[in-house]
Amino acid sequence: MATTQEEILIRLDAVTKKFDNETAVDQLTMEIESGELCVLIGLSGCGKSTTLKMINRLIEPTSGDIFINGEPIVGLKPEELRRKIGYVIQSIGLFPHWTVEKNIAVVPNLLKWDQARIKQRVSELLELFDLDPDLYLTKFPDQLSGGQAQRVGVARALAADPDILLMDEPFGALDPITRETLQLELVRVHKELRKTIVFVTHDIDEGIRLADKIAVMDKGRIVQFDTPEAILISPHNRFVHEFIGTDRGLRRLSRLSVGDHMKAVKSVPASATVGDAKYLLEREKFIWITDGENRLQGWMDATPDLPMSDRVESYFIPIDSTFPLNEDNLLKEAVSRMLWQSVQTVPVVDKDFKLVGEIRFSDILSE
Amino acid sequence: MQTHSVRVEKVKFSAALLGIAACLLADFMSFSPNRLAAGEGVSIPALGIWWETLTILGFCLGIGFLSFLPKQRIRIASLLLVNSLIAVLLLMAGQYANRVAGLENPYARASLGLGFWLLMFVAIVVAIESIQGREKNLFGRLTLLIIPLTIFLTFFLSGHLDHISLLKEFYNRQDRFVEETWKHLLLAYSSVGLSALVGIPLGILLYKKPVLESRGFFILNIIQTIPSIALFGLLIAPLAYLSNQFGWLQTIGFMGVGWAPAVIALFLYALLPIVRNTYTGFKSIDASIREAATGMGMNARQILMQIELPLISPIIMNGIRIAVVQSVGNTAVAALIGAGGLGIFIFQGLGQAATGLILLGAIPTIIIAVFTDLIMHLSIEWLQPRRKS
Repeated sequence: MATTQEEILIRLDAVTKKFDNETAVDQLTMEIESGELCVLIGLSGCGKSTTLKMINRLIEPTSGDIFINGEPIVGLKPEELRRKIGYVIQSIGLFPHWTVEKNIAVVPNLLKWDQARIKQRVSELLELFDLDPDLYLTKFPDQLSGGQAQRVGVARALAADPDILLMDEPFGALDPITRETLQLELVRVHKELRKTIVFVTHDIDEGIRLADKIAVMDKGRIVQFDTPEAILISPHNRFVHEFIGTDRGLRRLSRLSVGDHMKAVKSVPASATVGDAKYLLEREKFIWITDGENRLQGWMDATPDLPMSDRVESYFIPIDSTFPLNEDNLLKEAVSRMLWQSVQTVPVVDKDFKLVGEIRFSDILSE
Repeated sequence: MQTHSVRVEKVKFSAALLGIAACLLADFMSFSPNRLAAGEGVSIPALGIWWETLTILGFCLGIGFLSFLPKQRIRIASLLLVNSLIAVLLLMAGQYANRVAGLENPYARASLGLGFWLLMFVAIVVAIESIQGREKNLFGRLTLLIIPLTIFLTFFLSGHLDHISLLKEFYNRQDRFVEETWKHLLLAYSSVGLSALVGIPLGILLYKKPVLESRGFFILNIIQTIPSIALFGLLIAPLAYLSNQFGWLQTIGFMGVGWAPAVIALFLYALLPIVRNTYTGFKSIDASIREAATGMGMNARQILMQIELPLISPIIMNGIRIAVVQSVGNTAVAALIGAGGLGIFIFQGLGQAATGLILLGAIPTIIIAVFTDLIMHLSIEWLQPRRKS
């Protein structure tokens, strides 16, 4: 898959779909770039699912053309086209009489890959979604939880390594916690594989969290097609404005990560003297205290009358291990923690609890 | 310590009461000096052997006693008890027949009476009841059938039962019996086989073309409501006409009477359960499964062969099971139009008021139906996706 950035992979040209006299999709034109995660979003009946299903010809357009890699898709037999496009649906649709292994291997089997290659591919995909092949290969769909089943559903769609993945409200039926986990996994997998993904949802939070580009649809047309930031900052019209809601400021915070906005930070080891700490404090009100290996221990404020030669370890205030943030937390979480704990600054640590930075309320406000 | 409350097993308790009544009051056997004369009933006490009466009463009391014990602990004891009861009943029946209708009285008939059948019924009910909750257990179900059959075969092969009228009728017609049993199996199974070949595609068609659905089922339901005797009779005239028109049909035996109307009628009866189950099966498939299969790039044939048919094969097989069990029974009626089969003995027996002969047709028919049902059940289980529990 040799693709350069900004290459257009999917193009819809004046596509219209009418069901009887009802126009579901109306003269829709859009271009989706290679490697992009494009979210189609809108209210029920806005034509987003119909648009998606026209890309793999589950629905044939009434008029207009769709191109993939510049080729019109009507030039291919629908079955051949679909085997090149991954497809994930909300109700998952795993085949209940087949094991997980056979379910994932559907498209490779249709394409007549050799069995050794299929076996390897299936294990690879299970590992990609943190499912232990030894445990899951032989399971049947009714032995999986909703989240596991949809991971298998996505793995099945990716099995034959398609360039394009179509996802029709794939996480809509999952509970909020599982949904969020799968969203994060999708972001990770997308970063790793750079597939072009067209993702239909009606959940604005999900759209903002996942999308490189969002197409807001209404009555079969695209109202605004832009990056999530651009849509949040300048909604094109009243419909988009209402759709993204009044808390778009907060929504934006759910796209920005702590890692991208934290600041470098000073700290002193607990073995240092109060004098050293005060020297480093300068005009700050407090300073982070670490152990010898930069692991966060607590903090100490600038109390004036401590004996300068005493060690810091006798005076600092230890920190609750649930308080610091990680780099991949979202700013939304940072704000939530600040409000909850009534503080203006939260330390950021890595997975070994080593201090890597801090994030301040004032920095978030200036975003 | 656990407190034991006495819970009486109603089925076993009633069976025990029924057994005692049957033992003391009902005719165990009946005797007649020749095949056509009316029989004279003989109850167990009237057999004149006091320990036989006591033994049977003992078995019934034993069943009654077991009804006070927890079911799980006495499975083996119950099965042992009822199988011994079956053995003793056969032993007693054979002995009586040998005594009154043995070699020195070749024309005399000793027939099994109501008392014998009631006690057999008691034994079978208690046996079925004692494996209840273990229906899934293949071993349990097989023992239910195989142990009594082995007991029967042992007595049968030893010649002990030879002078019971049922067996006398059998020996008089041994070759015929084997022939008609095969014919019965062939008629019942082949017509259902044909029905499956037509019915499964027809079920799919009715599913895919909703316009045909109500009309199709209307016709099939009407066929099902025609009494079998009437349907056999109705087919005689048109088939006779056809075979007179086309000479080659007669050369293969396709006539107004014989196997042709039987196979056609049995075929028609078998259609409804097969078509209905195929149709219901297709309807029961979740739309998302079809959408996923189509979306993965399967064509219509692959979806049918790899997804739809395997998924609903247990439902279709269940339709075939109902059809074939029903067909085994209906085939007995087909003897009326000259198709042969075990029904021949039933109708001969009816004509001569010879109970033994009726039973010679009826009992194997029942055994074939029960075995067929069991085998179909097993294959349906085998078809279910095997999963770890």
